[in-house]
Amino acid sequence: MLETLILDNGAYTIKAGIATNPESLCHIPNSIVRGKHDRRNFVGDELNNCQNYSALYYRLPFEKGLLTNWGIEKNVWDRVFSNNVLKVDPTQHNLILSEPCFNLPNMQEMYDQIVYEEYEFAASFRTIAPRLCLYNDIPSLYGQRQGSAPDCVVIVDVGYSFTHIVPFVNGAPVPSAIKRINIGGKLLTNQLKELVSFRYYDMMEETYLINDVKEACCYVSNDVFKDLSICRAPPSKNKIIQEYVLPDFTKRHKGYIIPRAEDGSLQGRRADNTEQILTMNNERFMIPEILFNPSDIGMNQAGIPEAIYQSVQACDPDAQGLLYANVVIVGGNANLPGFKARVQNDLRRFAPAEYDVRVSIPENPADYAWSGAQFLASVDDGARLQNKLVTRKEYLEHGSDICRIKFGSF
Amino acid sequence: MSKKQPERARAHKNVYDIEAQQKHLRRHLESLERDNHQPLDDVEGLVSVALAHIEDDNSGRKRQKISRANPFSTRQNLGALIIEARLDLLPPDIPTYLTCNATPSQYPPRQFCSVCSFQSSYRCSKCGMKYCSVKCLRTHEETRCMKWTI
Repeated sequence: MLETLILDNGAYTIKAGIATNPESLCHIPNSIVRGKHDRRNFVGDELNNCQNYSALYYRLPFEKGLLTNWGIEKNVWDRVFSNNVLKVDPTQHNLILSEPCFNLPNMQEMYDQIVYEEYEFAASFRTIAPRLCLYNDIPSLYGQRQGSAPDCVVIVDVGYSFTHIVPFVNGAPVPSAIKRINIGGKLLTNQLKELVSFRYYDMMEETYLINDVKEACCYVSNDVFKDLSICRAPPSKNKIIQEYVLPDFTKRHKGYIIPRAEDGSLQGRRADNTEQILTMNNERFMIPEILFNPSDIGMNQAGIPEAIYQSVQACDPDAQGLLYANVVIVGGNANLPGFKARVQNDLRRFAPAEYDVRVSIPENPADYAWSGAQFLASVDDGARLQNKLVTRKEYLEHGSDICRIKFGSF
Repeated sequence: MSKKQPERARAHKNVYDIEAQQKHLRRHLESLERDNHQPLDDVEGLVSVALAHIEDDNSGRKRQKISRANPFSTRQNLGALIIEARLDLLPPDIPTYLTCNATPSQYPPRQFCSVCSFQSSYRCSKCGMKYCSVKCLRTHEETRCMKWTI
């Protein structure tokens, strides 16, 4: 039997690997980046060779959450399949591929065209990432025994372009209840970039650097107004304020947070210090706050907890209790500390009192769809996957219609 | 006196141009979607991008004979693809990319200072942006007020 290649095609990072070998899972930036100082293009994981991360110019295949530029995507996929990364021959592999929620029908045809005609995969299964998450052992996230798979789950996918809330009832997504919040990691990085540029240094070109700062410093506050009052205090009493040393790309290629002195005072402002320091105070939690209150930047949409509530309310009333008890948050932004507690607290306020609210985040929220797909490929010796695959022969005979019928509308 | 004050307050409330503020807000939200702050400015980079485009278009021409749509066409952008998908022809009860947005919150927006992010209770009377103290107002007036930059 052919090996299965799993490609979770995220807008910022591709999670790719061979199903039988979890070690092969690799994270590849889904972009072609132009280094200003290196004077060359970096395709996908070549970015690791970059010497100077300042003023990078990004070209991404995704635009507003949909794959629009196949020219870039093909370059990156070529790199992923090449001997440098995965060493796979597409014609000798089955493919599990993730696509965005509510992908346009004409774009789905392009996916099929690329998969079967350009790369000539033997067979493939294309679906949305939250659905792949569902194949995981979700009960174990709540400390329950394996096998008692819940019928109703809400997957909250906090990705790079958007946040999607996808409720599943009896294992099938409920299209009319899927909600999208137009906020993702990109917007958070851009907002932080703008705040830092306005308050401290001009960093408008330093997307890569600010993304690092965001990942190192930002967290989700559980009580915004209390944290804000802490931030007003002088540094000795302020547990939130942090000093981040910016890289200079000669001696230091990566920034870091300066640890506090033993008496709790900040160390970075000493006179003998020549490092360039970025002070992070209320920016640390006011940036992720946008996910919970988009109205903070003037976006007229509900935040994550309220959107979960909207989504569950749009489902069958009999399933609502189960849905509230099985909320799973996935996607790279779920790595922000404090995310789970905040959603749990806020959702509790929205959900009716008689229902339990349980929120969980898997250990690697960004890889959850990949590991779900891996489970799908391995269970029953792949028999479950075989039913879902569309082979190249079938595609050549029936065209994209067979994919639409077998994969479902999304 | 008692007659005059509410009048003054009302006049004051609408000093700033709501339409301009909305336009600025839209532009700001669009800027947050951008991948890069500024377009590519080094010549070598521009040449390499242009070459990649020509290559894509050429490979597309060969392919066009066997299939209808050419995914590599560089002339395709999101707007054109959405129009081509004809989502508007679908019945309104079928959810699509365009209609699955979360609806507005049932709670009023919170007020944070546009300069320092702490809680604010005031609005700039000229442009409507929020500020919290005289110090922040001064910064705001020097840097952003009525300049409609981001």
